[in-house]
Amino acid sequence: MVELGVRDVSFGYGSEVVIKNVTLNAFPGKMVAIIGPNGSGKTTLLKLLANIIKPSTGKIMFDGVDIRRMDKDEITKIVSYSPQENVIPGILTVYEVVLLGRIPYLSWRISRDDLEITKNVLEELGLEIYARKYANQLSGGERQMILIAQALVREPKLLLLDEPVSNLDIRNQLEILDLIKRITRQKEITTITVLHDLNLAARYADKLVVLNRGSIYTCGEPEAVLTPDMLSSVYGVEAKINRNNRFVQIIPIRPLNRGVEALGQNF
Amino acid sequence: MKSKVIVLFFLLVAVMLLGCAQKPVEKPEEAKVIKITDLVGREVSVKVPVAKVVLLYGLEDYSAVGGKDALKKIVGLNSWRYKKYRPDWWQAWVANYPWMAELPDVGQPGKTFEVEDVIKLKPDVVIADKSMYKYMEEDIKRLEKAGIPVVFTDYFPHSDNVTQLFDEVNKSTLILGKLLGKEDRAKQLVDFFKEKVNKVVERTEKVSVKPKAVVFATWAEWRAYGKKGMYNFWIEMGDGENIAAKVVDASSGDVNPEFVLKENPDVIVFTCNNNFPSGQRVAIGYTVDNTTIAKEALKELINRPGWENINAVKEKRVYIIHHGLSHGHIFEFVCLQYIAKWLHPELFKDLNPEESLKTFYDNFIPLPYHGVWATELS
Amino acid sequence: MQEMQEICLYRELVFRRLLFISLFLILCIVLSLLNLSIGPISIGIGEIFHTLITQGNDTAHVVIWDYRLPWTLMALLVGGALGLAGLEMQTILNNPLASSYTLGISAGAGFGAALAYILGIKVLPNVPMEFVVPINAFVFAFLTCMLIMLIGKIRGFTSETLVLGGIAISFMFQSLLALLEYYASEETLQAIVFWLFGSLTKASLFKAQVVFIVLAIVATLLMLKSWKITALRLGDEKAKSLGVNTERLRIEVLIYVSLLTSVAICFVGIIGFVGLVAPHMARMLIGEDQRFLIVGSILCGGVILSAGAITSKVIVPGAIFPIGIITSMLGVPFFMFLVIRGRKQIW
Repeated sequence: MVELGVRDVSFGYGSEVVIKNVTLNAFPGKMVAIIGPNGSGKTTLLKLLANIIKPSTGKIMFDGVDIRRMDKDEITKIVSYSPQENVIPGILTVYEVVLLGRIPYLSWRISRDDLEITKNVLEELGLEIYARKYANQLSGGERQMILIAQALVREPKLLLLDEPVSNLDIRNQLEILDLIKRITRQKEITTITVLHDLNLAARYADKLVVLNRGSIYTCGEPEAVLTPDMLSSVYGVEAKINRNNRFVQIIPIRPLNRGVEALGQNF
Repeated sequence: MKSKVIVLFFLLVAVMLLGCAQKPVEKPEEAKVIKITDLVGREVSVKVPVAKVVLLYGLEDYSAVGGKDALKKIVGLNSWRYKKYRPDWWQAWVANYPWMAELPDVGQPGKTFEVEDVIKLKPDVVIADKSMYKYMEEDIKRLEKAGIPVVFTDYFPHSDNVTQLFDEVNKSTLILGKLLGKEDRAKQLVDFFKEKVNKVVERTEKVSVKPKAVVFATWAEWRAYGKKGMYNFWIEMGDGENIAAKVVDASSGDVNPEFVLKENPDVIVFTCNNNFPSGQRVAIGYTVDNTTIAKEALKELINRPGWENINAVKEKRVYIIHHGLSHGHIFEFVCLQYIAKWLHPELFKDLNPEESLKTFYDNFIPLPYHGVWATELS
Repeated sequence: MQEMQEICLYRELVFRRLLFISLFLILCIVLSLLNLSIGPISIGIGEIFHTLITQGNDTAHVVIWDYRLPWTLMALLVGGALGLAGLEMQTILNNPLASSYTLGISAGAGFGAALAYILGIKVLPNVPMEFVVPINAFVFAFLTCMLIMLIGKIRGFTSETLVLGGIAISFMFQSLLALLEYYASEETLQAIVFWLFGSLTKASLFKAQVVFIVLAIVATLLMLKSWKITALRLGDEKAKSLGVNTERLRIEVLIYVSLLTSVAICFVGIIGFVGLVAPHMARMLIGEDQRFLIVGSILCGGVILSAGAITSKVIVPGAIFPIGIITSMLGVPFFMFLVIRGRKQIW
């Protein structure tokens, strides 16, 4: 179990600031969804959490320990990051792709532990039947499942997913997010996922983080965060929020005039 | 530019003066237009004797026919070829005729040849080798339009038939004679050539056992001259057996090292130019004074596993020869003489190839004889 | 029961790979024996073995020890080195058509060799003539790699940068080579062309030992990184997410590959397409797992060049047909096949 703490983190490429003073917390067994318009810095924030890039200021802590003080291998064992891209270029069997997730533990001879964990994860995700197949011959949904399996096989304490369900059909989206939520709860993983689809975010996340131009616009429970106001100022969209059903539902109406939006922000 | 113009001017004056001085002697030689069928089979009209020549190939053959006078007719030269392929010969020419270095370099067809430069020089004829023809077809049209005839000689005939091969060489010599108004001397050269070749061929008719021979290049360890290579003709005419011809159809190719051990040649010849590759040594050629370097090079060249048991090495019948002798020139008979003598030392005891070459230089080439052209392992 | 099944699956994967590796190994041995026994001088197989374990000065000993054995070992080892170098180049550049040509290493080596031939420039003084050209070629091949490294350092180690940098370097060395050739004498030019063509006739036992040592060291070092290199095949992002420092890994592998390629081509000249074809064949049969693919590519390269070496001896018995032409004749159709079939099937 790892509690994630982000304190006042900023990051930029050259003079361009991409992430500005972000502070947030995430807890085991809970699923946090990062939402925000294109270019708001969602993927960059995830990479910062995955220790792929380093913050220019501020600090990231696992259980209160600054990750800069931690061993790199140790971090790799705690964190699993699944990037947005779900292409698997090489000729690798599904079994191997998943096994590769255990890279920090693998040596020239593969231990029985590694084989067992790989087996368990494949089973849990119902992927045993694909084990012998080549990963690049599978459909987009199946591939996504495999990459999630790869992220899980390391038995991470912090799971970072970048758009795990983009380009998937509606059934696959539900299946995968159900699975992620179930595992998050069962294994008490701290899960942070970037999601584009606001309805899915509202439905699955325990907490929403709205990122706008690199800063946190707001965060909190989906019901509290998803307001017509937020949607108009962050996304520039006029929308209706339907709260009558089991899930919060966003019904977009029309994009707002960009000029008006810009003007509004200047004031 | 200016200096070139001045040199040219003086040259012209010199040529004119010489012409004037000799006028009474050569009076019967009046300019007339004749038709020549050259060695690529083209019929060309040329006003002879020519006074201004652009020479793309064969300075040795040209001067052997035309003598010193003919040298002065050259207004443009493919000196690029000399500098690159026969650096020692070029050094010799320039040392004896420093003005040659100043001649406009018209370049090698297919590489650096500039037709514009030739047209500017307004020669009476351009003399080229048959091997250059394929690169010059467009240039010929332009030159002809400018009224400049192009005549091809062929001192590199690629024929399996020895008689035909020598015919081509002799025809080339006779054409040079016609162009330069030196037909008598050309005939004299042809006879000389025939006599030298026949002398060898006649004697070898008595030979019953053909010694095995092989000719290696020096730029790649196992590169030997095959069936279509000029050395094959010389070995055959000298009544030897070129072992490489059995396995190399082309003019040269790599042989399997074992093959040499198996065939066990009686004579091994290495051939190289003045520019010995990779060693940066000048082993042989016009500029070399003694045989020391060549003999050292030979020792290194035979230092190959198993060669100590080869007949040629055991009996020290290992030789090196200048590549320029082997083909492409009117004195290539010297190569035949060397190889015949190496194959049948008893039979040709009285034959002195070096002396032949010296005689040829003394009688025909307007250069003093010098250099090391061939030597043996000692 | 269930647990057993999963372990069986892994065993099955490993078994399949070991099977193909054994197959390659057997082919290597058979081809090497053929290479040892084929030649103008006929020596029985029994005598060959006897000659190999005894010392002597007779023809059989000279033929086997001085000509056939160096030739055979050189074919095997240079093939293996080119196969492995090709594999890792394709992997780190993420490009199925990568080879020592793509990175300009061959062009660099060619330029170094030409420099030795034409200008007589030695990078090391007091070395025997036989090694002047190889040492020059090696140094320039390695310098080329360092140049690529420099470009990578400045522009980042993405496959695009490296491939484009390689093409630029290649062109630079080719034009420099052309310039040298322009000034070269006839024979020097022939010597350079001969070198560029590649030939096993320059083999010797000493050279074979050098190639063996470098190949063994590099293969071991790569083996230790095999999981990380395999992860590169998932794509950069993925590999980074698995905790692989892709930039450092690329630099490291590039250094190994540079060393390997430089040593392989400096002794025999440029033998094309082995480095391209061998890794693909191995990959198709063995898969991407570098633990097995490294061995597979080495063996497959050895098989290809050994087969080429035999062919070059038997086309015209007694003559040596240029091996570069043989490997190209095999390689060009394969290259076309790769281009036409595209990435889906093979890459």
